[in-house]
Amino acid sequence: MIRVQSVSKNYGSGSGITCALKDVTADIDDGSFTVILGASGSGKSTLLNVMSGLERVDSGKIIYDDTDLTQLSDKELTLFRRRVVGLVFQQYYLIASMSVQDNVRMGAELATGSDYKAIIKAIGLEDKLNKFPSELSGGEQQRVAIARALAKKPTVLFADEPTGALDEETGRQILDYIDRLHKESNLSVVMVTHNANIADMADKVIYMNSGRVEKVELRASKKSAYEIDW
Amino acid sequence: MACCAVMVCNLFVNYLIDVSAVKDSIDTAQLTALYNAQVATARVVCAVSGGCLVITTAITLLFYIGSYVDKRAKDMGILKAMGYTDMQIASRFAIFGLSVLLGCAIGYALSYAIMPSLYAAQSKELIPIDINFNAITLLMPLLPPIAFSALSVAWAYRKLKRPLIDLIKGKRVVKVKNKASKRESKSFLMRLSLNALSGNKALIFFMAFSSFCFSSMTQMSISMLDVGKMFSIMIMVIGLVLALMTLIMSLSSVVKNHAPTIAIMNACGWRYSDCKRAILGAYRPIAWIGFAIGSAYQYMLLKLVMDIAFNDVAGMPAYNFDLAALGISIAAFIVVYEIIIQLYAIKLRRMTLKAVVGDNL
Repeated sequence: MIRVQSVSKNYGSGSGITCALKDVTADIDDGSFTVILGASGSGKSTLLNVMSGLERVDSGKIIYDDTDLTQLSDKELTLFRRRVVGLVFQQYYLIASMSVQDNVRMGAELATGSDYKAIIKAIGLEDKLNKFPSELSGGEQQRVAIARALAKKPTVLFADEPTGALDEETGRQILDYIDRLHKESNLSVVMVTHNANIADMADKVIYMNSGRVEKVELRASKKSAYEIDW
Repeated sequence: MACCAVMVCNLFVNYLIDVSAVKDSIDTAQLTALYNAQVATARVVCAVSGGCLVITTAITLLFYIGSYVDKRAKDMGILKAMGYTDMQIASRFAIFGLSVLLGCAIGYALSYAIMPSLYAAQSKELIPIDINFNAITLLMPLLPPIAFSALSVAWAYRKLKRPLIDLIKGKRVVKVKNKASKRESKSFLMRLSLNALSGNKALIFFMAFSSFCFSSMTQMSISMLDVGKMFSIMIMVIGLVLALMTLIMSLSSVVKNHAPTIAIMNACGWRYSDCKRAILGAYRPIAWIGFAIGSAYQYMLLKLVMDIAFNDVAGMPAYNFDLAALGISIAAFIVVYEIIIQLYAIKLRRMTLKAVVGDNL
C-alpha cells in the first residue's frame, strides 16, 4: 500500500511561488487501478511524481509499506525506483538514438531474469526490434515505453497521461493493454488523466483541484477500455 | 580565444617583421650568429604556438557557432513560421562576428602592451629593436570577425533548411543505423557508450584534440625551457587554455546532448554513476589516443623545426624525445582530466527528469 500523508509541494520562491500540492492525503491499495483525475494545473502530475519518487515533497510523508520515501537519500530513492516503480509518460521519453530492443533492455537490465524479447513480443512489436523511435507510430512508441517500464518488473506502474498524445483507437489499445497487465499480473496502476471517461476503468478515482484532493471515489463496477466513452 | 590567438600572433609576427628590418645593421660574426638564433626562435614560436593557436581557435569557434545556432533553432523556427525569410533570420547571426571582433581587438591591443617587454628581452645581447606598427598586422583583428560572421550566417541558413516542424519542436536529427543486431550481445551500458561515440563524431575529434593540445603544448613547453623561459611559459599557458577550453566545451556538449537519456535512465532507476561510466567514460580512451598523438606530434614538429631553424647555428645539439616532459605531462593530464570529469559527474546529478523536460513532466 502507498500512503500519502499531508503532502505539500511548492515550486519557485518568494512572490513567484506556486503551490502545486496542498496538504494532500491519499491511499493507493496494492493491486488496484487508481486514476488521478483533474484539470491542467490541478496538481495531479505533481502527485504522481512525488509518489513515484521522481520529486521530493516539501512536507508530509509518502510511505510504501514500511519505507518512507521522504527519508531516503537520492541514491536510495534511485534504487527504490529501480525496484518498485515503472513509469510511462505522455511524451514516451524513449532514447531516440537507440533501437526498440535497446530501449526495452534499458529497463530489463535493471531486473534479474527479465526476458525483454518476450515482453517486446507481448506488446506485438517483435518485428520492430531493430527499429528506432522515429520509425514508429505514436502508439507503437507508447507500447515500447510500457514495455520498458514493465521489463524491470515493477510493483507499481505510474502512467502520466499515457493516451494524451494518441488518437482514440490507439489510446483504447494502450489502455486495454495496461488494464490486462493490471489484471493478469496484479500490477498496481496509478494513472493520471484529464479524461474523465478513463476513470470508468478504475477501482478508485482521486479528484484533484488546485493542488488539493477534492474527493475520492471507489468504483464497484469497472468498464473495459473498449466500453468507456472517449 | 580570439583575443589569445591574435595577441600571440601579432606579438611574434610584428617582432619577426621588425627584427628582419635590422638585419643590415648587424656587422659582426658573433652578432650575426646571435641574430640568426633569435630569428629562428621567433619562427619556432610563431609556427608552433601561433599556428597551433590559430587552428585551434578557428576549430573551437566553429564548434561554438554550431552550438550557438543549434541552441536558437526553436526561436528560428518560430520566426520562420511567422513569415520571416531564411536570409532575414540567418543574417541576424552575423552579430556573432562582433564578439570575435571584440576579442581580436583586445588581443591586438594587448600585444602592443606586452611588446616592449618581449623586444627588451630579445634585444639584451643584440642591437636594440624598435617597435614599429606594421599595417599588414591589421589583418589579424579584421579578417577573423568577417570570416566568423559569414560562417555564422551560413550555418544558420543551413539549419533553416531543416523541416520547420522539427525546428519548432526542437527535434534533433538522429542518424538511424541498423547496427543493433551486431551489438545485441553487449550490455545496455556498453551499447550506450558506443552510441554516445558514434552519435557525434565531431565530439570524438574535439575530445582527442583537447588532449592532443594538452600533451603537445605542455611537453613542448617543458622541452623548450632551455630555448627561452618566456616562450616556454607562453606555450604552456596557451596549451593549457586551449586544452581546457576544448575539453570543457566538448564535455558540456556531451552532457547536454545526453541530458534526456541521463534523466530518463535515472527516472527508471539507473544510478548517475552508471550514466557517468557509460557516457563520459566512453571518451576516456579517445582522450588518451589524442594524448599519444600529441606526444608524437610535438616530438616530430620540434625535431623538424629545430633541424630547419637552427640548421645554420653552430653547436646546436640534436633534439631528442624528452621522457621527463612526457612523464610530467601524463601526471598532470591524469589529475586535470579526472578533476574535470568529476565536476561534470556532479553536473549529471542535477539532471532529473523534471529539470530536463521542465513543465512537460
